Amino acid sequence: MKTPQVVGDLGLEGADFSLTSMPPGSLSVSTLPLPEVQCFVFNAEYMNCTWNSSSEPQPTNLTLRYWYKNSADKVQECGHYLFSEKITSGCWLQKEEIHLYQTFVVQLQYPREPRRQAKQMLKLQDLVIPWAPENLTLRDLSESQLELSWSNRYSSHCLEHLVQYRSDRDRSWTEQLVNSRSSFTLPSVDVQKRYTFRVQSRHNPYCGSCLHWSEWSHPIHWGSNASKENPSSFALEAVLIPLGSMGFIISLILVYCWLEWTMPRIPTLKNLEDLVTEYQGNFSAWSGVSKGLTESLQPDYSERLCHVSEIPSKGGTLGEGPGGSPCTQHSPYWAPPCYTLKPET
Amino acid sequence: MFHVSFRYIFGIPPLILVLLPGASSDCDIDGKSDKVFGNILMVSFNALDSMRDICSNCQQNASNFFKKNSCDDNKEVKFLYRAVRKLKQCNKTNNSEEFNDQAERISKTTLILLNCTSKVKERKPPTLHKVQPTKTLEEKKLLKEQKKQDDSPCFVKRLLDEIKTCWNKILRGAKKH
Repeated sequence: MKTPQVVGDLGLEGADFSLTSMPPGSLSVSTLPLPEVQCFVFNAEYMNCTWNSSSEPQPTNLTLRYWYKNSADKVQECGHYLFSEKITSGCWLQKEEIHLYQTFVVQLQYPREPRRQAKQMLKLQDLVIPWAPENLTLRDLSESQLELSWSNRYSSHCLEHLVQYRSDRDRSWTEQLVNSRSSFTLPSVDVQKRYTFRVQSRHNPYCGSCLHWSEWSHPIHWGSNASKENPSSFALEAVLIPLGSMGFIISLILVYCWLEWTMPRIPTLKNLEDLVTEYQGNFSAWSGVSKGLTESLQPDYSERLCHVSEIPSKGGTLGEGPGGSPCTQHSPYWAPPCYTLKPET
Repeated sequence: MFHVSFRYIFGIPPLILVLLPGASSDCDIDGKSDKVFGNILMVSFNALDSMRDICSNCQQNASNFFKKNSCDDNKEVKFLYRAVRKLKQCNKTNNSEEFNDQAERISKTTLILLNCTSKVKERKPPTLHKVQPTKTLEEKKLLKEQKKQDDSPCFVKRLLDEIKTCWNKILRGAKKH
């Protein structure tokens, strides 16, 4: 008995359930749906069909049978089960058992209750996942043009490819979809930068319609190693230099302000009459020079004048000059001795 | 006795020569079929896939057409030709206009790519001195049921799926060797 609505809600189109009649309100193992089988054909070399073995309330070794629709081949049970914690969780099929363009019918069955089974019909050509591309090669076409090529272990015309590339200055990848051909041309590259390329493939659209991509290829690099930006140069260029420049400018401003505050104003001649009228000749008050600065500008040394005169010809000693004492003291400080010149006899 | 041997020696070879064109395929796939498939056919197939409300509850019908016709090895072109002819015969009134438009595009494009000559026709083996039996009422009823089933959206959807699968198979093998 089929329950299309239940099948549709659980996403198990094509599943065929056999339900036993049970009184309402009771729940048994036979009413629980079997897990969905998911199959992938890896590079058309082998196929894995797996299911969630932990979905059963009790650990059970479910059995898998398969056949091809409209084929004379008989129903076969899986010859190579895959296990998860000692419970069957999948089936491995070899290359000779895979026919991509025939409808593959897979049936999962509960061993203790054969009526409890689920059947699915699959199009294997839409479930092919190729191996990752290999042998990535870069070639300079011209001064700024670069060609990336690769190889696949599957018929290349059946595949489409996704190329990702970025430079060492970029934060995200740039993508380009390539159909069937195994090469990609980058029209302009910067020789100062270092580029990284990688490729993935999928079985679409000519030979099948698989939505799953292969693994990424090993990346390949091109460009200058020196241009690679390191964190210290980034810190220097982006942080230290701007901060240093700003600090320098701010310090210049502060020095200018300090000088303006400390250095006296140069008096202008316009206000010269204020010296007489307002400040009564007090130059320091008029000029704005502080008292302390005024006193500090006063000379703090004294110098005794020393008169030097010629000794008279009659042999008079030079003790007193015509003006009085030979030295005139202008300060109480010790005056240097005065020397006289004795005539020659 | 001389006349009997004369008839067999000189009669049968010409008969074989006459029947040979009917047995061989007069379709020749266009060399650029992969590009046309990618640019035109796939667009229509994808559009039809998006119409999931159609045939969401299809039962696995065992149509006589698929029992007699399949995309087997070396029979791909023959299957495609018959499939698109069957598609043209299906009643379109059960489907939406967009569905019919996409199906029409697929059948026309396939016929163009197959590049079949006008001589290709379904030829039944010559039935000399054999009278066709009249169909019983039950057989007529069965044929009517079959016709009704073949006009259903589910059959048309399955027919389109098989056409796409057969194209995938042809294109995979086209550049393989």
